[in-house]
Amino acid sequence: MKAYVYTVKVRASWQARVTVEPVVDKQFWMNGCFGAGGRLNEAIADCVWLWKEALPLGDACRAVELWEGGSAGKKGRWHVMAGKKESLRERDSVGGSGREVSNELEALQRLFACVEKAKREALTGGKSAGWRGLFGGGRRRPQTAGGASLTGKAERWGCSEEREGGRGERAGETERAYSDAELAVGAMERAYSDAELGELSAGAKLAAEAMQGRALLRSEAHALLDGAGGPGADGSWSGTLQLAALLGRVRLSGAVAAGRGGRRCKRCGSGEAAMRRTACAACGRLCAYCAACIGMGRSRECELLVTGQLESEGAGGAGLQRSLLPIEQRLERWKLSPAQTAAAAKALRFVENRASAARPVLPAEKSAPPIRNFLLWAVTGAGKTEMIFPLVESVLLRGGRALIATPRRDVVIELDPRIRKAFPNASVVTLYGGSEQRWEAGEITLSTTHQLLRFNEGFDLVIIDEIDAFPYHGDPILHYAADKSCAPGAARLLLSATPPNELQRAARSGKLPHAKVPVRYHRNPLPVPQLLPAPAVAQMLQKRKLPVKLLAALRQSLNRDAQLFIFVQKIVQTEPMAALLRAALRHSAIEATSSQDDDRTLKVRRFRAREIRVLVTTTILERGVTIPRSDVYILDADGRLFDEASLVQMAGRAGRSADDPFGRVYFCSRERNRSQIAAVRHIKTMNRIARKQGYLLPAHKGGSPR
Amino acid sequence: MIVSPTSWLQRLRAAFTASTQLLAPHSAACLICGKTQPAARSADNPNHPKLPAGLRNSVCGACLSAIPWLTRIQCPKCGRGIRCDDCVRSPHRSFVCNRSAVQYDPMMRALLAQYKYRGNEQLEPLLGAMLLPAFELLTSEIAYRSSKPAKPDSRRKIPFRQYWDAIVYVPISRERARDRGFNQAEQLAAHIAQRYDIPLLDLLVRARHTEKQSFKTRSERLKDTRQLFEINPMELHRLHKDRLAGPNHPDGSRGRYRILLIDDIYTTGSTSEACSRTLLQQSELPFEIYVLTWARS
Repeated sequence: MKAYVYTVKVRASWQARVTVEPVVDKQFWMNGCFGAGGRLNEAIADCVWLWKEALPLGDACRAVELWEGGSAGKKGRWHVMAGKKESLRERDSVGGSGREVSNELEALQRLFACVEKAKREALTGGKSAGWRGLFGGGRRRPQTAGGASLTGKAERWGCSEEREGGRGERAGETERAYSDAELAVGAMERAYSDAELGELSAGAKLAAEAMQGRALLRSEAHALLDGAGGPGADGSWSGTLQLAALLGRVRLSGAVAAGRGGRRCKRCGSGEAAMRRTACAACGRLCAYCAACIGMGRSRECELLVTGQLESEGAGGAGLQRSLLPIEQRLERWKLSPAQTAAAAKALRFVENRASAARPVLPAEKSAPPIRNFLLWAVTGAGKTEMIFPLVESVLLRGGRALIATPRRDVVIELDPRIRKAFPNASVVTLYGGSEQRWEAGEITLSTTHQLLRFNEGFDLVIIDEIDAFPYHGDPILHYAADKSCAPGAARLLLSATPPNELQRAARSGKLPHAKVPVRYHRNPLPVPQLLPAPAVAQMLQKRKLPVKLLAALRQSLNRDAQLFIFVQKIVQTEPMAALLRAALRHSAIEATSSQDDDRTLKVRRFRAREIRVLVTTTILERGVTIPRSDVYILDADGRLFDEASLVQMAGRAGRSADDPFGRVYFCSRERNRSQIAAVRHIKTMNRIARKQGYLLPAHKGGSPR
Repeated sequence: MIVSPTSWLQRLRAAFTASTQLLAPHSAACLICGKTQPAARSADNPNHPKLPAGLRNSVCGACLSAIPWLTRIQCPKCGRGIRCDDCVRSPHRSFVCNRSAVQYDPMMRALLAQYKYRGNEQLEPLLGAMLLPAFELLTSEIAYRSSKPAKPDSRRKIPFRQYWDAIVYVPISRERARDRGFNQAEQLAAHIAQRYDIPLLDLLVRARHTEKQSFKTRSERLKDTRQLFEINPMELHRLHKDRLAGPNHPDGSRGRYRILLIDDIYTTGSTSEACSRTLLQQSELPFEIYVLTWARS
């Protein structure tokens, strides 16, 4: 889309602004009253010069940025100097009120310089405007920077009495230009009635509320506002948003912006490598869009990104702080195990620490305090979800907003009822691709990590589950989104059973505050995997034969009435392996599933209902699935795709319930490799720590459950 | 012509960027399924020897063989793969016939949505390339029909550009252009025009903005497309001038203007019909209009 830039003189100083709806700005600066909305602007402007040419949004934003940076570069300053010379001449010719005119002209010339530079940068891709400026910029500028020709390209809004006073003294060219400009004002103006102004201000208030903590593309923002049910009729949202922007409650900018090192997507943080340039019919030039986050709607240079701005922090949190019960008392309600309680208390102290210490400092300091990370390293089946309840409660009690993000949609959907049950009085919003609640806001937000792209400084507590899992792990976009969603000074809780090495290291060295939960909620040790020599899956399938030992183990598992997870490396192996097992075990309730299986959810449900006894699958089910009485067989455990974390996670599917805490885990492979050894060591270490800290049930103090 | 050093440098830079793009390795991922399958992508795919290279290089073998090409045409009028009630109901169309590249199945629907609604313009070369076989087939059909002695299998030697006076496309409204940022039909048309060096004309303009076709029912669509388009007189003039300067048709159909109208999808044919009718009614020139669409639903 296109936008306009203008420069406005308020309280004796000039500033530059972007607008997508100039009429609103005119009302705001020249009048300040918005019907029933009352006076929204106390600082009425002396004078405004609107650049009449509609610019591609990206250029308009860049021009204002250049103005604010005061760094239209050396060239830019030079233009202003040239302008001065010009204006001197002007002053001579008009005489009288010279000073005022020269100031206005200077402002206008500076605006012009910024616009020109922004346009030039757009042509060069924003990289090296420097050397190009030498050739392209300098030569033509002096001719076009003339005062008179400039006033023709811009439109002046001034207080009427001032204009009356000035008019008599002005003469010649300048005045003619002014009256031309006024004609243009008339043509452009779409005067608002009082009622419309009232609606506009009501809409802006609504938009400010609704947009808080969000970062949305134009169409998304419109959908949000439509959903919020404001007074805006079709297509009038840009005026509403513009007023909200003038009030400082939202920020309007291009979704892809030029910066150091080229273009950058402001929504997902991707750099030049993700940019694709195409001819754009919306802004009329070559315009870059971000290919990295295109799945969430297209973010492009001339596309409006609406970002909610934090309301100036009130006393809110600090005031409520005192009424909170002591941590121990609040934790009682959740009936956690001793290990859970210890970790939750530590995390809770960390989360609330900020509320008392950091908050009062906040308004004074302008720079946002960094995000405070806390690692909760809890073994599989430790009961992570229960542990986060007290943390969420703490934030809600202090009037904040909490976010729980997990990489996968299945988990979000599974978590939803548990959260609602734990917090029956809180408003819970569940977000994933295709969610019904897409534009709703709540105290607790449950979301896939992808949805975080649509937030900006929205949450006081951010909990990210399974930080080492696909797709969150190793995706810079999702990391960027997770950073962006934190309100200034927010606490962020990272959950994992198998944290990535760098986090483990940071935790060990004390750089990353953390709590370890080495034991499951039922206080029995983790099942230690047994290594079982076996040929490769490909070989088994080829020979249509399973090794005797494996077969015996499988039979044993079935006989003890367990549910069997069989993990293989490749999707293509799942179905043949299921067929082979059906034949070898003479059992029909054996199915296969994978990420490409449309019936996956159904099969998992049937597996849980014990209609399926053996499920052959890939790493897709390594996390998030809890089946009460289950044994785990990992075939090709020496395969490339199964690293330590993956093996620990898959092993973590066994022995989840208190009824059957000693599930069996087998690593079946031709050789014992580093990952398997590390996984076994990992599990044994956790069991040892648990025993040492006295978290295990007394019955098993002696050692292995077997 | 005087060329300033700036524009020279600009050109040099543009040329450099273009050439580095040529040198860069092809992105490894399949444009349809997004998976990297270097093995399946080998250019010597035996199943599709005739497909354009642009297609074979950017799509994996599995997706390539899943494309529902419309090769068996049942309805000679609208190019449908099945017997067609629409053409029985309204046999008189303002265009000669329509041909589509593919059947509009769920996979193609998803692909078009990616491109058109999600704005993934990286797909444009792919969709453009998919149109080429249909275009060549249509042209050879015309060549065969107009010049009897030529054998149908001499397709390779047909000078495609000589059979067409211009390529035009279904326009989108200004509102839609602002919203979407591009006209998919225009991009597809440009792809063919560039490939075969046929003039691309901006001959049609949309007179008013309507709701998206895909939100409407059948009867609404048929009603809605009347008087929707207008002719752009400047481009019409250009067409006339080009024709006077250009070579004759090999089939000796001098006097008629053979126009290829491009759109992304042909559903009821009402859009194509409205465009064609506008062209016939609002200009003095004797047009012969063929329609080429990417998908036939």
